[in-house]
Amino acid sequence: MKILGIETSCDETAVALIEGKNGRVRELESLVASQIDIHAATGGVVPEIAAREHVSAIIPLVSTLLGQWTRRPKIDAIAVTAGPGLFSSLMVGVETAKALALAWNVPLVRVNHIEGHLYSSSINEAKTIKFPALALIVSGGHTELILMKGHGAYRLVGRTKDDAAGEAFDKTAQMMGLGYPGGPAVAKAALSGDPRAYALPRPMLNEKNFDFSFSGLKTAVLYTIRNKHLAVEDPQIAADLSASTQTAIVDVLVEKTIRAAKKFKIKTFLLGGGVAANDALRAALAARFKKDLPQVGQLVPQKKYTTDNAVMIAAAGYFHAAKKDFISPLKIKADPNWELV
Amino acid sequence: MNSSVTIKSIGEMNAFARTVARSLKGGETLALTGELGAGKTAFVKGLARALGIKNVVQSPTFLLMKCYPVGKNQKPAHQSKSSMRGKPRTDFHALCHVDAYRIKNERELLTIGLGEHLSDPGTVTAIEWADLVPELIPKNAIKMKFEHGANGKERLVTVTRRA
Ligand SMILES: Nc1ncnc2c1ncn2[C@@H]1O[C@H](COP(=O)(O)OP(=O)(O)OP(=O)(O)O)[C@@H](O)[C@H]1O
Ligand SMILES: [Mg+2]
Repeated sequence: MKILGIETSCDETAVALIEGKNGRVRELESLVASQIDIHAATGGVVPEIAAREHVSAIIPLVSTLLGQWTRRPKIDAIAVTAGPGLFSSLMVGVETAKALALAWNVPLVRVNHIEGHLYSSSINEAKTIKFPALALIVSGGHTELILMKGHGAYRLVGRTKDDAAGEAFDKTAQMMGLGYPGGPAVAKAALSGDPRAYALPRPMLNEKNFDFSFSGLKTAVLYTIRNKHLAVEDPQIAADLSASTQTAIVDVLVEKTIRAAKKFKIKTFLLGGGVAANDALRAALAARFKKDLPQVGQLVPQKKYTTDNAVMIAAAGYFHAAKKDFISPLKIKADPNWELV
Repeated sequence: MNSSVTIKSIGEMNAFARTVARSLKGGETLALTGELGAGKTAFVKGLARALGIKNVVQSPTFLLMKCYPVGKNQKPAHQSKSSMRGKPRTDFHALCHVDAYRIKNERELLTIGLGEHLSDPGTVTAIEWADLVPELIPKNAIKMKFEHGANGKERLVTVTRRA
């Protein structure tokens, strides 16, 4: 089954084509028109500009994508991100998908952006998802543990009560003067740091639930800098504090994930979201699963699928399409506040 | 009018938020300022709870804005009292929680609908990092400055209302 994926929920206009078969998906082609340069010139995401750029980029992207084949591939379904995100940006993708679905007479699937992250680890992966499965979605705006009883059957089992994990990386990076985006900056500095240099809290580890909290860690980093009069301009001090901070974040994410994995007796673990690119997190999760739950299959996304892309939207779309879970092109609407669970 | 309070614990922050909640009629803008970890989100969590909002209030830094309905049965005490006295009841129906931390251009917040919320007499809007979007803050906004105190649990809040 060939699925065309369309994603315009924020900065990137992205389209992709995948092949899905027997519960596995493979990328055939992926194109992204990034607006980073335009936003750098205007100093941030300006929604009307973002929407206008999506409008001018989307059709050329689709025709370039399909024009690469001498015979146009037969598309079995179109999957599009319908939310959450900026309404004006989402609308461009949704309207395009709707028009193409009607013009080509191809079924349409509506995908939640988070669901895309959830399936990002299944792309180009030989292992299939076995249920129950547990997904850890970690990004700048999300920190969630989602239990899956089947494709499309989601239950929220834990989430952050305040700051997201990616937000903790960004804000502590700012305190250390490491710049934006904070995740890669902290991870890089941490490579040459001692994770035990500074004692930082492991929030919520003593609570039985699967929720997270990172605002206390954020303030703890601030107080450490202040009370110890740390010269964060010193690369070694920044490295040690980065390593200590990253380890605190990773420890909590891993511990809660393992506890949830045991409690729900999962068969597959899925990782997704921007923070899924963090090597320390990937390594720590792999090590703990190997030690505590070696029987659990782990699906970790290729790094290129941790940022926003259309391949993951097409992948999620495939699992809906396989169940014939389609939406009428006349009914689909962009929903900026759509919560998956 | 300017007033300053020293808050010694998260419990006291919640109590402070309850006091603020009781003074709200709907339509107010709370312009929250103060550095990272100063307690702006912690305050809004307390405020939401005092208004009977059951949702988990997460930091809106990434989402930029999140609105919560203030239900009919969950009205703050002063409203039911005033309605008993036969005064017209404000339809205080929503709390909008906004964060300008990531904002580089004020229009970003307008295109996601902040303007409508600010001018809605039934909505209370709390804006973190309000100093980053000065043009968007109404003149009659209640300004609340959050500062770190002598230890990790202490905070200083300075409230400025236009007389
Ligand atoms: N008395 C107190 N009042 C408020 N918060 C407190 C207090 N004591 C401890 N804290 C803790 O301090 C932290 C305040 O973080 P919070 O995220 O609310 O700050 P913020 O001002 O919203 O930061 P940001 O600029 O990142 O949005 C929370 O973890 C909270 O539990
Ligand atoms: Mg905050």
